[in-house]
Amino acid sequence: MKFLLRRLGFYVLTAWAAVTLNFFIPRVMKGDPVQALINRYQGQIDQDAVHSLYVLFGLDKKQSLWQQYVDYWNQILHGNLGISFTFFPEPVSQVIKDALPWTIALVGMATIIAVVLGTLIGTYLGWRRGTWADSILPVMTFFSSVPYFWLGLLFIALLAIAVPIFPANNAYTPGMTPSFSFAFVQSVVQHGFLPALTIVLSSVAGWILGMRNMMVTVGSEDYVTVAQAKGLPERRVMYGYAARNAVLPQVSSFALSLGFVVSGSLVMELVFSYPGIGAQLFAAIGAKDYPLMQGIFLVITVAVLLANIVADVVYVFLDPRTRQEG
Amino acid sequence: MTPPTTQVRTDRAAARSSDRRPILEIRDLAVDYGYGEDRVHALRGVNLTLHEGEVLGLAGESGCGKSTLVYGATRLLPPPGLISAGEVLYYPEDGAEPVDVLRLSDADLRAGRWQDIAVVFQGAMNSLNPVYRVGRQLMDAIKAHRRDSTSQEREERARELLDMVGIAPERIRSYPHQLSGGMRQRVMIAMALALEPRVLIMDEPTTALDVVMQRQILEQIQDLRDRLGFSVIFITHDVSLLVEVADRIAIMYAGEIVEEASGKQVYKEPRHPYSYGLLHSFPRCTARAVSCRASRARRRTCRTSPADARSGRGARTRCRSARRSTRSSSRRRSARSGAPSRACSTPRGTRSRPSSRSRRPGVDPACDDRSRSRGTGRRPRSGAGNSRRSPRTWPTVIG
Repeated sequence: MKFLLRRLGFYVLTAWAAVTLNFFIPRVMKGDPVQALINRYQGQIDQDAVHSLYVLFGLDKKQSLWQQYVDYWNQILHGNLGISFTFFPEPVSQVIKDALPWTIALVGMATIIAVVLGTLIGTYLGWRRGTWADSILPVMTFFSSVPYFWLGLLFIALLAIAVPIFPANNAYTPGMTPSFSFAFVQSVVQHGFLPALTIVLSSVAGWILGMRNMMVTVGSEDYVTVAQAKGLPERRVMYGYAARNAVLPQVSSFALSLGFVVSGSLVMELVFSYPGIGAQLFAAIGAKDYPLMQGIFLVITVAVLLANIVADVVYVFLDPRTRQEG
Repeated sequence: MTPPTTQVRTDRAAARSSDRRPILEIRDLAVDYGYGEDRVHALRGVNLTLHEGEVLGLAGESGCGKSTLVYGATRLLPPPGLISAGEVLYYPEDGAEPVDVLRLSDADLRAGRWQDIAVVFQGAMNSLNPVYRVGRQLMDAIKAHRRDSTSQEREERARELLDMVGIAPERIRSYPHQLSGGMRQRVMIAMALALEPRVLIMDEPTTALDVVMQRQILEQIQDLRDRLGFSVIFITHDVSLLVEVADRIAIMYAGEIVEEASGKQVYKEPRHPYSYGLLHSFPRCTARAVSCRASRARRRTCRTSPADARSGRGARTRCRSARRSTRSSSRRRSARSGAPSRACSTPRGTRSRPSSRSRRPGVDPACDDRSRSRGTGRRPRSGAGNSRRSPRTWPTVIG
């Protein structure tokens, strides 16, 4: 418990540092967001309106930096991330709220599938080292070394255009209203299949390789030999002794990758025109939409931190050596 | 094919201890590491018989194949180890025909493991799975072999086992990292005894421990053996320790057993020059003696790698007797090129005997005829003077 509290303290500190950086970076960056907006409206905004825009974006020159910083925190704690330029006058939080579920559902699912699949295959490959099974590995590494967008385009060309089984873009059939009806869910699954396939295929090799190598390492540990000598069933030795220990590093890298799920898979979302957060981030960068960028960065930071906390907690459950019992 | 000389010897040894039936018989076991031309012969036709209720000591320096013998005989050899020849006969309790462990099906092998032959491995530090509680690891062996036992019975048994090796039964809830090295070693011994195996193989069970712990554990093993009556193969590189605990001692060198006799005989009159060297390789305590004796001993025992010893007679290159006998020609050349010399397969003091021209160099037939005059059943530990005259002068483990 003490251990977890200490970790939590550490994360609070990190979160503070991240938010603070998030506050300062746009302020030291070149360019003026309000000026950019004014340019977009080509001088159709009068001086009063300009000033109120500055106030609105929290860039009031009459306020001290400290005052701005305090206000910034105040706004964040109220869930107010400012107003997006690109989707003006929609607030950033709304934009993120619209995009996030799509990314989390698709990339999250794909990541979980890749991890589970990769870990299982890796377990088997590591256990049956030196047999025909080893030849699976080069095939998988081939897929992960192929440029990611190219793999996506290939799938679109093959499975959406040449043989139109799956739709090539969007998250659901345009015109449908999002709901939990069967037809809508079916449409979502159909649209998500190709992007998910791309993600799984290109990332599974890493998971296989990691797990296989750990299995090989753990497989030569004394306690695995002892388990064999005890005459335990092979499956128990393989899962209970070898894989159980080999999976520990996988867990921490899985938690880390969960954090990055939130940032979305930028290339995938562009290739498949998927309305996820990666696509929004890309749009925000293109339009110099600082509030949106800031908001997305903040969400990513928080997600990575949360994933790390989860990893810590899970690790404590999985590895008794990290527990500090009295 | 003529039966190997060692076989004759062990049969006679068995005949001497008339009530002792063999329980585990290793015949001509050969193990290679690697494949093809570059393979290393780690074991070159080892013959060893363990009788019921006997403590058989196996001694030799690092890399001579002691552990390989254990892994080979239990079929736990990690790749690239490969059993190239031989058989390991296990004699079941009911007096049925012996079974060859090396030819058992996987299922039969698993069923027999731990139940018949249990092993205490070298390095207790890593023998326990760090993520499971000690109790669980004690219990899963019982669960695998006694399917009908309830979890309550298993826990009871686990507590009993811990108690038996002198660990508080509450420790069943501990994780391995919460135990000291000595405790872990004792947990491993407890685990090995969980199913009351008939054969217990102990591969350097005390090597990593300090002498106090060594003594405690050895006493415990002897105690348990007296109580439960299992047979033990005790592996160590500490010959003087074996002299005290073992009924019989086999000395291994470069993948072969070069001498086999009762503990006392090995200690008093080692026949093979290597056994003599091993027994006298302990440095004296006085300062000057340490420097010169130890360095001499080291020079004499700079190890032959099994890979170099491929030609056959592993001990020859560093054998004093061999060098002495070839001094007239060119000592150095013989040592390097490995020109044939019989001296090493010759027991000390019987260099002129014709039996030294055995066709199995390295395995010498000397031990049986000199052990005829003595019984082998007694354990030399009872002789109090024994330890005092022990060639090593630092504190002996068993008083």
